Amino acid sequence: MPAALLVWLDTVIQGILLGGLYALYATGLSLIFGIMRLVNLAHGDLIIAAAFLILALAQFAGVDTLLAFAIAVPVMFALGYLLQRYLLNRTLGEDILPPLLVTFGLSIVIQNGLLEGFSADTRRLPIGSLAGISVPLGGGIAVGIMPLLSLAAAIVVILGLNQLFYRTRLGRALRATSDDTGTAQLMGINNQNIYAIAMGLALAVCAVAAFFLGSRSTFDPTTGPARLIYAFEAVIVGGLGSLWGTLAGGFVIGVAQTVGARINPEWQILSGHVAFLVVLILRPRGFFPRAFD
Amino acid sequence: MALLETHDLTAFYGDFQALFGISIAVENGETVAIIGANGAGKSTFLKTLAGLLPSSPGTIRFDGADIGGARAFDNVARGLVLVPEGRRLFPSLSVEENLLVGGHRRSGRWTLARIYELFPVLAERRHQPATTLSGGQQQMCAIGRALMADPRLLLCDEISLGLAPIVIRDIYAALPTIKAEGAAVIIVEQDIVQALAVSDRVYCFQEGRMTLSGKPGELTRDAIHAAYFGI
Repeated sequence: MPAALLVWLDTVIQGILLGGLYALYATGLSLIFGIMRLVNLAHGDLIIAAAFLILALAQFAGVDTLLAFAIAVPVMFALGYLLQRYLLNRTLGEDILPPLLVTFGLSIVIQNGLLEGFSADTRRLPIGSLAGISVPLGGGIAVGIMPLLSLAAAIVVILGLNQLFYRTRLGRALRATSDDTGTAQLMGINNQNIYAIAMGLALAVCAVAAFFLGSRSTFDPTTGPARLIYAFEAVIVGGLGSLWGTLAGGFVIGVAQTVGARINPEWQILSGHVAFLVVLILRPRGFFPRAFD
Repeated sequence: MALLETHDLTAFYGDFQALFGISIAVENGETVAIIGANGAGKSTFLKTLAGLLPSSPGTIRFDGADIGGARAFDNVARGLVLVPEGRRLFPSLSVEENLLVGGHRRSGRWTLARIYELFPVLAERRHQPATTLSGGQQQMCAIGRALMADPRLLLCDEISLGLAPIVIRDIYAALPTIKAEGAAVIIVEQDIVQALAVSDRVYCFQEGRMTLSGKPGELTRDAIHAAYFGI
């Protein structure tokens, strides 16, 4: 294969791997929007909060980073459950403005809380020798083990959520609530509880995203809003309400970014946004819209 | 003791009062029909009983417990189950999933197999999205979904609305089986003849007030006419 082609192939592969991470950012956002039509503006900050939680456990409590990650997942689930049950449920109603304002406020509170607690220093999760391992794919192309694992994690998370939605009693209740909250209550489904479980799931996925974000790149208390933008873009490009679409959306943004960076390193972020705008113009409902209402 | 009693029940949509001092009783196993013109408050009454609209403590007693102000999902756990107007099936769930979700909180004598026995057409279409069913089949699915919660009192809101007479007949043919399981039923119905034919007791609503009550055999055509239209 000509060397130039290999370079581009490598670029696309790296983009897809990056897309896996973006899909992890986006899955929780997509889940929450799909079930309760809540746009969580604090989503990116919650990912960063989860990263700091893992960091705190690993650095200050001396726990192994992988174990810290394993602890962070249920802790974030519990946090999500409580956050929804006792704060966000009170904002839900006919008007979409209250949840937007409250989650925007939450975003500011989280960022400033993290600044107070951890300072503005840039951090990275200590994952030891894992960071340096790469897997040769042949033809001189090699991919890092962490990017590969983050894509695998995105696929596993989406597969797992789909199994939950389509194979379990809880999943049926989640889908019924997403379809029609009022009628779901007539089935004996406590929608407040369902919403809280959904937010718990979303934040558990945030913890997974946080682990791969923190082990692949650096983060600080102000990193959240940019993750939120990538997550939004992946969700919109993929089509609202479809988790596999969200993964595809992540790929589009990821590949656009690596291709942009290959042309000119300064174009990385910009080309992701441009790709998003192009998709928005050509397919305003994204690639895999679930509903045509 | 009556299974359901309401005392001076009122209901509001914002500032608009939709029900005025409704007091009725439903005995165990009884079938009660509520008739009345459009806007008489029949559906509002059922929604209030189910807990979809707010009510005050002390205005509704179900099986001896005060359920005034109770939430809809808790009423289901007690066996007070509503078949909503317009069916309201879950579009992203299959027919079978719609039935299964009906038994989410409470279940008992009614199983999938028994629902399919009652409405065989649902068995044939169990894996289809619920919204691909015809109107009558959707109504059967909505009734089956409510039965999956093993209702002690089944509230049926306009189950014949928009359906062909032959389909209505099929749906009403299921009523004796439902009653044989011991469930009491409240039917809200615009079709007076249908309502009188299946019920043990009839209440007529007009503009949010109850204007008539009695056993179908005892009510004269003129009395019903007067209560229905207020003339």
